[in-house]
Amino acid sequence: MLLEVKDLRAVVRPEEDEGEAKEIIKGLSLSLDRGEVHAIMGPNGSGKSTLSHVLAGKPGYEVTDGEVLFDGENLLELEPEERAAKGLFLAMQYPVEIPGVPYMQFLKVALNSQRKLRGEDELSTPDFMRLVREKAQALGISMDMLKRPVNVGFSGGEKKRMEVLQMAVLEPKLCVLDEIDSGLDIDALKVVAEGVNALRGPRRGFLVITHYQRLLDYIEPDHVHIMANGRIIRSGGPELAHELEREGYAAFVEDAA
Amino acid sequence: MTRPIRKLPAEEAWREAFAAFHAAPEWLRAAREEAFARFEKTGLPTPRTENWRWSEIHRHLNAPYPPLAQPETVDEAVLKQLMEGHLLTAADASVLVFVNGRVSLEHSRLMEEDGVEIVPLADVPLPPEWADLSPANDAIDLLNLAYATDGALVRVRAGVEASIPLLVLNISTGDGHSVALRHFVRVEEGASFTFYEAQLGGGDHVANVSTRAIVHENAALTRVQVNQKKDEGTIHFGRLGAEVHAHSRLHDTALLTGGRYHRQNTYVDFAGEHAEIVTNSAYLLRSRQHADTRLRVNHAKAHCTSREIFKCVMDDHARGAFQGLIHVAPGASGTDGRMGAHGLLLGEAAEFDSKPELEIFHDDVACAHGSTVGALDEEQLFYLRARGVTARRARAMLVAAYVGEVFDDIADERVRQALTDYAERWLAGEGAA
Amino acid sequence: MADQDTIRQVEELKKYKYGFETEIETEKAPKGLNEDIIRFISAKKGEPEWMLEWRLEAYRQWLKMEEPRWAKVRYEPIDYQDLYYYAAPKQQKKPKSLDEVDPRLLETYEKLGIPLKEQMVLAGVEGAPKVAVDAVFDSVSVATTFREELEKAGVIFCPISEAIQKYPDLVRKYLGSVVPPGDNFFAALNSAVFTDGSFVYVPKGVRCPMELSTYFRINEKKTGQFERTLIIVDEGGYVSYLEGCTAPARSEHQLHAAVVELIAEKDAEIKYSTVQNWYPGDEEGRGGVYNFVTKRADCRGDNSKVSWTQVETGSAITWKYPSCLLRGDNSVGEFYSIAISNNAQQVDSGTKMVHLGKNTKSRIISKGISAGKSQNTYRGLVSIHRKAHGARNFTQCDSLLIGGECGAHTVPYIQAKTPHAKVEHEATTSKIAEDQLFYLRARGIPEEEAVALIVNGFVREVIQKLPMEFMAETQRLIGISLEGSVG
Repeated sequence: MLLEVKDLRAVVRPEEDEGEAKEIIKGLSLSLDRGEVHAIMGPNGSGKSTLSHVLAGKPGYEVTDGEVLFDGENLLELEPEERAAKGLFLAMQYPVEIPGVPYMQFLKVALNSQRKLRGEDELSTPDFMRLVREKAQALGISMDMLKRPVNVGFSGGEKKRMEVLQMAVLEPKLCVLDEIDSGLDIDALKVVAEGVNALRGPRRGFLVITHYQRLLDYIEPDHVHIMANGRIIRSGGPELAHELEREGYAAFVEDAA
Repeated sequence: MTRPIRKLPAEEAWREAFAAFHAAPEWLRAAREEAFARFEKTGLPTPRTENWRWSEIHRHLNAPYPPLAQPETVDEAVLKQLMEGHLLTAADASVLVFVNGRVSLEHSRLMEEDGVEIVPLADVPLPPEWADLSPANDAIDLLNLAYATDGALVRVRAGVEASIPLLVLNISTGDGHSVALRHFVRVEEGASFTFYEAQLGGGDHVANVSTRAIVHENAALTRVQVNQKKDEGTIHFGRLGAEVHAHSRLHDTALLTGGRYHRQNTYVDFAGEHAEIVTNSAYLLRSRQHADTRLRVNHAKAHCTSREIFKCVMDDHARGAFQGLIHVAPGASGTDGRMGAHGLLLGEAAEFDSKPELEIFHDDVACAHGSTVGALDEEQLFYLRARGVTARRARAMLVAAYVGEVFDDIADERVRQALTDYAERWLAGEGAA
Repeated sequence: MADQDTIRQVEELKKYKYGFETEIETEKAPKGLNEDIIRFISAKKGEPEWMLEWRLEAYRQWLKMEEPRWAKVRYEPIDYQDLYYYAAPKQQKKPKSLDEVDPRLLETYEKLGIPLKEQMVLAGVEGAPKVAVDAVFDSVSVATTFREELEKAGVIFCPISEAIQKYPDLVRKYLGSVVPPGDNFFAALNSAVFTDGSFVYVPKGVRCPMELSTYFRINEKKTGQFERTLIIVDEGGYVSYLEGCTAPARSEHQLHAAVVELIAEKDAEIKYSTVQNWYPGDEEGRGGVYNFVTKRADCRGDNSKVSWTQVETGSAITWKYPSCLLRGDNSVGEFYSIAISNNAQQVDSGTKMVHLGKNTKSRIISKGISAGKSQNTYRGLVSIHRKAHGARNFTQCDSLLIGGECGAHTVPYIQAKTPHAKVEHEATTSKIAEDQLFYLRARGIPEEEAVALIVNGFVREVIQKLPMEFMAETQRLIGISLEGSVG
């Protein structure tokens, strides 16, 4: 199994020692294997983004119970960069702007840091350039964009497309896509989905987090989970997404309550 | 609320030593005596001296540090290491070396170029501007003039676009004394020149290095300064006093990361219209290092442009301070001045103070300043780590990105790269030269 | 439209409208300052012994202090022995209601155009906004309205001289606790000789049911005005307080040195608004009020909030830094300022935000407009202390210059002692936009009015922070203050 989440509970750690810790993930289980695409759908506030943050190790959350195994290994003990090196990739809903750091440098440091952590040789600059050029071309990304600082001044669509480029270059085992459709018009969505689909394969898993069924027309999942109030309340095949689209979240959430 | 402030040991020592110094050659004597008389009147800055309010100079000048009357020699191996281990080795330049307050011609390497005169002070006739204290001065500048034992005199003749830059190495070593150097650079009409300055060496002493620059009409001067003093011993007082004439350009960049204490006084006067200055500095400070900048840009003439960026990164217990002033004189129409002062606090006990000041006596201006203080952006840090970059490397990258714009306009690609690379290595602890 | 009003009012009012003098018989203490004068003031007020001692102690500290010189203001030395420190309208006893107030005084207030809207309420006008007013004439509070209604809510609003008598425990506990008598030269002077001012106490959990307002007026010649305001809002309480100031046009300078102390306990909120329109002096700088004011708020409790809004158009010299000590965790300080200087006026004003508690927030919006030969300085401090984790400040400081002979200066101090905080400061200085000016004039608007319009736009963000009653008055004032600044 590529990813196993067992009875996971997580809270948002409050700043300093102010206030109560708020529980967001309330006993969530999920198994995902190589070659599979799972979709997690849920209303706002259901905890889906938090799940992606906890998987990637974002500071500010605390796991209070349960476990997460990634390729059989305890994921929760690892630093964010170690998780990345192991092959976990979180495509973020809001990719962060980093002024002063050129995209190309960022990508190269990321790839070579991961390789180093994995005990592999670093890629030489020419090899790296070749790799990026090839992947960028496939996604219709100009090399000029890679000279600019990371995400600074990029449109929403460009940012997401660059996230896909990162996936293509870093070749993770599991891609967690956190609302990759947010802020995209239909054309941009198609481009991003095509990029994602090109990366699908028997050795790679996807966890697609979204609010809307629309995305799943373009990235077709094998399994669909509906999340509400920090738990998965129903799982099924692709048909579940359509059912949800027809009946709305309210019906499901009520059933579960 | 007035309480007397005790005299610092250094102040007393400098008074005592002056007798020996004013016996210097005639050409120097009058200037020295006048400077010293003025110093006696004002004394060293105190914590209540507004322009030194965050300097803690009383804490740093805690020993006598008498002026070094006789040059102290330095071990050849040490010198070689200093001369080859600094960031400006990337520059392809003539080299003029000063060791403990005296020129060392045997270590220097001056390449000849038509129209460019480079001489050490020695006993050449002194240009009156050498002793000129304008555009502004304070007690430390007065001491510099009173005690300067040497310096580089540079004159670039009208119309000469010099192709060979000058690299001045101000090396000082040892404990318990002070050394003073005073350089003078004149770039005549239509000429251009590049001047690199490295503060090197180490030890618990005071180094007082002043550079006076006059950039005549249609001329250009580029200056890049680094302070890579070793360990945390040295107290460095640096000064740039520049006069920029019509249609000329001064571009000043600094990377200051060495020594225990660095005080930079940068004074720029516009002496003609349509001139432009850029003065950017990056400070990378750790442990208990303390850096303090005083910047005064005087828009005395119309249609001049100034850009100042100050970026200070402080780890551990380091302290950074900035006091900048854009002054616009009555009638200076079309003034365009922008100043940014930014502090990045990495250490729990680090501290940053800033006072970016605008003083504007004319309406037809566009002036702005900005100042920020904060820590590294957690979101950026996480984003990099989520892509596999180690926390340490991610921090180093963000620090380099933070100060990066300071070096953006350095024309010499290799020098720019050397400074940029250093900034990224710095946080990883590979900083020491 | 308010803008139309402005234009009309600019035309109507060509000179300092408030520059008249009221002839009322007054009782004065002899000129000069010494311990006997302080004893005289204290005795006149029938003060308890502790209050007299407090004053004398302040006076002794003042004697040892030097007048501050760091501000960018210049003036001839003030002869503190050539001033009257006590002048009171002669009255037999304190008035119980407006009816008992000398009608000439009321006439004065009417001329002033104070928002004495409660007169409408008294006259039975339905729907008139309720504003309780304390009026301080020279050194003495002459009328406080709406006291009964406030008392029902538990809110105390009275002259501070009365509070010293009636609520000595509250006064002793809080007076000088935010601005100690020895805080600075002018605060010490005020502590020694203040004769009146307003006192407000809002008890736990009470939202003050109406705006409170104090109107200050200097009338007598050579009279210093030293009022003292103390506002305490207890846990969970709220008050909005306005003050306005005017003085007659006189050829010599008048001294005004006030102290305002605000205390916000846990979850309390204070909104303090000022429209300062003391006589600014004439075009040549003759006359005008020297306005040296210490205003400070102590956000003592967690989640407390203090918001200062000031419109400074008057005074020959303004020296004033309404500040916030953000001591409680999550406390918030705000400073919204418009400072307009024209002719020979000099303004050195700003704020201090001292972040001591965790997650404290502050926001500074300052709009300075200089015209004529005036000098206008913003001076501010943002200080983040070591333990103020999560502190946040944003400062925006904009200056507008009208004419080539004025000055606009920005002197911010930023001090940060923790990496767990974020401070952002931005400042701009520019001249009034010629394209905007031309556009308006091309539409037929005279230059002076066009300037007033543009300036009103420039300061809009701050105007919107003012209570409704002051908005229109402020826009009008801006027009008047900038008269003669162009052409």
